[in-house]
Amino acid sequence: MNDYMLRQICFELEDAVGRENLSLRLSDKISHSVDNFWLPRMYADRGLVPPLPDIVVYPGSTEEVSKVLVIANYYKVPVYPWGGGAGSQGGALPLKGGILLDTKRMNRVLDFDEESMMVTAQTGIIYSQLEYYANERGYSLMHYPSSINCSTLGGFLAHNGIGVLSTKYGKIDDQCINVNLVIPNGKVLHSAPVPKHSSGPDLKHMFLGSEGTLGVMTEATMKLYRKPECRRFRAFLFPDVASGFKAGRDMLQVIRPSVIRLYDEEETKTQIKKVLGFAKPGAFMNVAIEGMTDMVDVEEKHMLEICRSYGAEDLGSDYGEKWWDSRLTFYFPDKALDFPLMFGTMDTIVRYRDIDKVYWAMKKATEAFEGVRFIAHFSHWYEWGCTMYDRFIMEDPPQDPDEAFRLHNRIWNAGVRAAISCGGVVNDHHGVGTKLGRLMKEQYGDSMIVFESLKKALDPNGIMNPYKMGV
Amino acid sequence: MLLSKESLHTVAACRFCTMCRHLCPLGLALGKELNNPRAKALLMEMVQKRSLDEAETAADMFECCLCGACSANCETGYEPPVFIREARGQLIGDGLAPENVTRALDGLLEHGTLYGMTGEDALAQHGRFEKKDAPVLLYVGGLAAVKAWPMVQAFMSLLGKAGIEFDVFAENVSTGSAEYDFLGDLKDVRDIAAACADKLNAYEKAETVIVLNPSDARMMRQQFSDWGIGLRADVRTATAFAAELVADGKLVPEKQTRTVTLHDPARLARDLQETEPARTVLVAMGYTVKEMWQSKKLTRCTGGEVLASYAPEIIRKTAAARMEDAAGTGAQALVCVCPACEADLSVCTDGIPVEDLFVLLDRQCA
Repeated sequence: MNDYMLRQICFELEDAVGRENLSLRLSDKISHSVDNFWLPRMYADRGLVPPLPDIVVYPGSTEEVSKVLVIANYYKVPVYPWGGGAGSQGGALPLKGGILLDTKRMNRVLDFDEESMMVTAQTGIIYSQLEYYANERGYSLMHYPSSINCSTLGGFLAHNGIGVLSTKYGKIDDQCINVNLVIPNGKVLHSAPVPKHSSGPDLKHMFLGSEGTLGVMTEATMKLYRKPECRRFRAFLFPDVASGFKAGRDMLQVIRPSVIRLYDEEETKTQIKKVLGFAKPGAFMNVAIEGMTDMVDVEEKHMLEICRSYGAEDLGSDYGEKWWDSRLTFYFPDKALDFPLMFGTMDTIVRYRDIDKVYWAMKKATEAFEGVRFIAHFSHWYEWGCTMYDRFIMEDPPQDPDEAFRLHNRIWNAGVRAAISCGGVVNDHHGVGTKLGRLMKEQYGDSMIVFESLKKALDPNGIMNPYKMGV
Repeated sequence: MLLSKESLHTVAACRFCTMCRHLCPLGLALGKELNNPRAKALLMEMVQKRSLDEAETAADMFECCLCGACSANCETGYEPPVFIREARGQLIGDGLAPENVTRALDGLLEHGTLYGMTGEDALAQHGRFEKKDAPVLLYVGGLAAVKAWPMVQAFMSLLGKAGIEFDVFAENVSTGSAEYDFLGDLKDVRDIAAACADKLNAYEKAETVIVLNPSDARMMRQQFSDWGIGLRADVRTATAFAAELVADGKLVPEKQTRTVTLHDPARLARDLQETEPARTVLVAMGYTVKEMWQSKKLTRCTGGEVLASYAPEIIRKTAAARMEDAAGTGAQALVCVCPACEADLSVCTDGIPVEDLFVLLDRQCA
């Protein structure tokens, strides 16, 4: 962007959001150039500067977002919505310069409807702040992902995120009642006020997961839940991972656990050592049941019967309680995966029939790269299938940025292609971003026309979050 | 920029971590990415790798109140204020600090307070305090003398009502607390702290020093001892001392039915781990305390004296955010126990009344 245009656009943006809410500081640009995606982090680690925006703006309301988009649309300047910057897919990175739109000033709770058990908030609110707000009033949103402290409501909606209690309380799209979307012409679109209806397809599902490629979500209404009277954990050791799948599937026909986490033999070695203090072969599973105590008693009885019927050893409740209390610890420095490792979470989701096939295909594809280790656990269960939360880890990746960049992308291509070829999807709950955009066409083929047409209709100048989601 | 080993280790740990984002009072109130420790660590990392000039980070390093909310939440024990404070000292030393910061610091180094007069002169405005060689010595500090005199008066009145014989530290020199937040661990700062200790130690009969400002109490209790600076007397915070007087029956407040909320000062709650004394006093006064979600160890700082000296526009936002927390509890008043917090919150035009614990207690004690 030339200097004259930069001044012109900044002048108009200042008029829209106020001078103090626009920044040209290099440090501001840099702080928005690295999210939780390995590649920009690798850039910073290797002393390189990732792509920067030209301007950073902090609108405080739907109206201000609308004004910013109208200006950007007129000048055909890219806009990148940014929430907590905790995304792992590079979904908010300003790859092509332009305007970085940080949503965190939009952090207000707008309505608390106890009668209908809903809360409406601006999407820039940090999710744990929204959860605190509900907790203070005796409720919970029951969305507990590991990034609850870092991410915004909008970030979760934009990437269709999920929390650890999803098996009972659903994904963020199940928890969202309605949402708006500001599109580049400045108009504010609204999904239906309620999520279940026959008034055409639910627009909400076109906005959620669109990763800022269509517009900016600025307000959303979410479900509230009463806190459960009790939450009970139980751990099991299954003879193998296949019997664990069957037990999980069967449980969902009769009870509704909030947590089911089944670990492959590789991850079980670590988990089981924590519980028993020694290694033992098998597949480890941690289950939580919650609600009214008398109902939990009944559910627990069925859970124990089902797990026993598949030969599981009952390991008691200690592990689960400790896991719950320390579930965020694994994401703090020294515990989380970090440099010098190369790593990635290739979560996918698949029906029960195909899960074994996907697991082995992804393991084989990623471990074909020298020095790569593949581990997985299975969380977020449905009646028909479950999420495979798998990771590849490479202890000693190349130091050369170009080599590291290429190798990283080759491993991802191999892993995700293996998933797609066996009935999996590009991603389960972290989104697509710039990391996996190129693979979307491989999954959807001609069906990509739906996304492309929607993009063309709502964002004809292609200003919204370019090079993301494959559109 | 040459950072210490500890700072470099912290920068490496925090550069890609956003796990404390939900607690940073500046980040929450301003909504800026730069206000979070991850951004500051990332910038320092890039400075170390020479992909960014340190001058570009100058304003950012001073947009922090060093309240330690990030450290309090860190499950693996990292403390971002360590490298932020150290970077500040270097930026100031290299002449790169923003003008508003330099101006405030110059005033502080000239007067020992941030208010254009010495602590001694600030205190002298309120009267002469003859030395009585009492067993208790009251350290008022420049901030309370200038900005929160009713709090000082009330506390002195309470000491009188409890029959405590006390001296007021008339020299009222700086503990070095504010200087430490500007400059970090420099010899000049240690010298200021040592000079303060010498003057306090000159009160040979004093067995207890009561400190009104939690930042000064933290300095005396923790930093002085880290630096090997000895104090003869035992250092007590005003809240802990008042709670003890109530518990011992030396102060017997009349009970009133009220619902209040309490703002925990970050230095008191996190650094000194004192959260209960003020609450026990409020309960003894008959009050019901409705807690804000971010209270006690997770308290949300209003900004503090140092940040207020060069960035009042930020204080307006951090204080307003805290007031919103308080008003949201439905309490009738927001009770404070720290002169800096009271000064910050005094800028709020909306919300519930801000009241001082010692003023309330004095009013309810015959």
